[in-house]
Amino acid sequence: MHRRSADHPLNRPWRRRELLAVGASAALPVWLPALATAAEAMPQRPIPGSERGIPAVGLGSWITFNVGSDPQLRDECAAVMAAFFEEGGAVIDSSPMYGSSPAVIGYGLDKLERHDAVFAADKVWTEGDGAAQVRESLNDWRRSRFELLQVHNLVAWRKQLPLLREMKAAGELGFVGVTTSHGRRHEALEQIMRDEPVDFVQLTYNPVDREAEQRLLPLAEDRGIAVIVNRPFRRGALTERLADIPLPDVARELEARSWAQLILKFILAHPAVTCPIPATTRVDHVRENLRAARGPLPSERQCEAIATAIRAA
Amino acid sequence: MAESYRLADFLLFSARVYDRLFLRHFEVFGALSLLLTLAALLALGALLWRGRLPGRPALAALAGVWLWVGASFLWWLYLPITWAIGWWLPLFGLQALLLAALAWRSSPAMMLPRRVEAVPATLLLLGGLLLWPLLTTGTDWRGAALFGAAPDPTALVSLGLLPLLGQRTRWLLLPIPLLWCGFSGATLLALERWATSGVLLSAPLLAILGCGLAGRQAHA
Repeated sequence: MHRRSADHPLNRPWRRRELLAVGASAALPVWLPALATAAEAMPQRPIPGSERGIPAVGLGSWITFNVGSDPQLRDECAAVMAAFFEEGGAVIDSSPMYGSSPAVIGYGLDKLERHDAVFAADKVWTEGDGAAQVRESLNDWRRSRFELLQVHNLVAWRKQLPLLREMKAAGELGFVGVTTSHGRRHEALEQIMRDEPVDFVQLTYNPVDREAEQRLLPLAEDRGIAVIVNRPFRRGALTERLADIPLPDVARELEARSWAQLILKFILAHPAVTCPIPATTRVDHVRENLRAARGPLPSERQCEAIATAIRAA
Repeated sequence: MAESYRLADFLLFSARVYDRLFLRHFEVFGALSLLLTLAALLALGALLWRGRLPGRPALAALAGVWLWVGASFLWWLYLPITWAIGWWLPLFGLQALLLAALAWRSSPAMMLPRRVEAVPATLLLLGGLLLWPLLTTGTDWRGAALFGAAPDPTALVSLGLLPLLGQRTRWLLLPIPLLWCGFSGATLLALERWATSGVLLSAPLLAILGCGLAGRQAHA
């Protein structure tokens, strides 16, 4: 496995002048000024093929933000989002498949007045009218534009990818992507990565689901495709299993205070990875997740030590 | 190697969000739900005492309950967190329509089968009205799932009434509550609620047994 060294440019926070340079040389996205001011210590990752960068840890919304019309739980989700932005996060990912999650994100963005801070990533998940679904999603998010739209689980991708590319060409969308999860449909994903001009792929990768290391992550690096990593904790199953297990020695070397941080550091250490998107309902956990991107990232040896410790637990 | 799907991977919501649906329903409609449960318990008492219920009001009331549960629980609370509930809304409406049509068309007395043949129906009725709220009471009793508020106990009570109906009618009214028990039982299984999922998944078998025994008694 190819890992980047500790002094690799991607392993340190971007400097303010670099961010400003990015802003000056590209059409400045609405969320970038907030990054430059509020997230001095939050490491950024470049989006290959563009001069833009995004914070190295995002926020997923699968299950955690699907709270329906419950006012108490909606406010709890907004509190998680507030902490996420305070820590310098920007990428929030959702899907029309996730029930009320997109609408709850929209509620939180309105309540916090942080539409300028978010890198809004949603999906198209239909064999039917993709444009109509995008309009519905924008309505849920209470926005006029997404930074990233992805074809969810490759559903009808031959039909929906051209639609997303048209939107991008028309300036209605920042980036185009496709997603898989649970390590499924990797062959089809690989083919799309080879044949289609996509900016982002989303896949499952963590210390126990490492198939992506074989072909997909190297291919993403070669082709200049940004990688969003879903299910970093296997929907919490991994961190639950490890909850009572003492952290291995490597945690101290990496300044990791929890298994969650150790797992995120493992993921972030891969040079092809742009941004894992752990989901949570807890303010303390979202802070902990984002802080995983700060401090040292593991070397190849340390990554193997993390994976071995988790396998042995 | 691809990660295996678990039943829980098909759930879109957490256990906490699911539990709060019942609490929120109670916060708004609690008085009505308690009244409906009380009325149903009185009707059950009368049925066990006298062995029969007047069919028309019982069926008409049950039609109203299916409509009410579909609107106040499924549509208002459950649909926003599970798009699959959209498929259930017309089915709850259809069940209400079938019950209403039956109540309008005829007024057969609903007879409790005699002796051991009455056991499945009685268990289902008691299960829906008493056992289910007890099983679903967590830290806050207001979060208990009540007949007339929540779909699960409503389906259990409906299944319990089937052996009391005529031969053809009971099979007409069986599919929708039976399918709901399967759907909701699987949901509870995914939430690792072993007791309630066990009750819901075994209820259809008990209902079919009850209908079979009642039919045999009618022919004897």
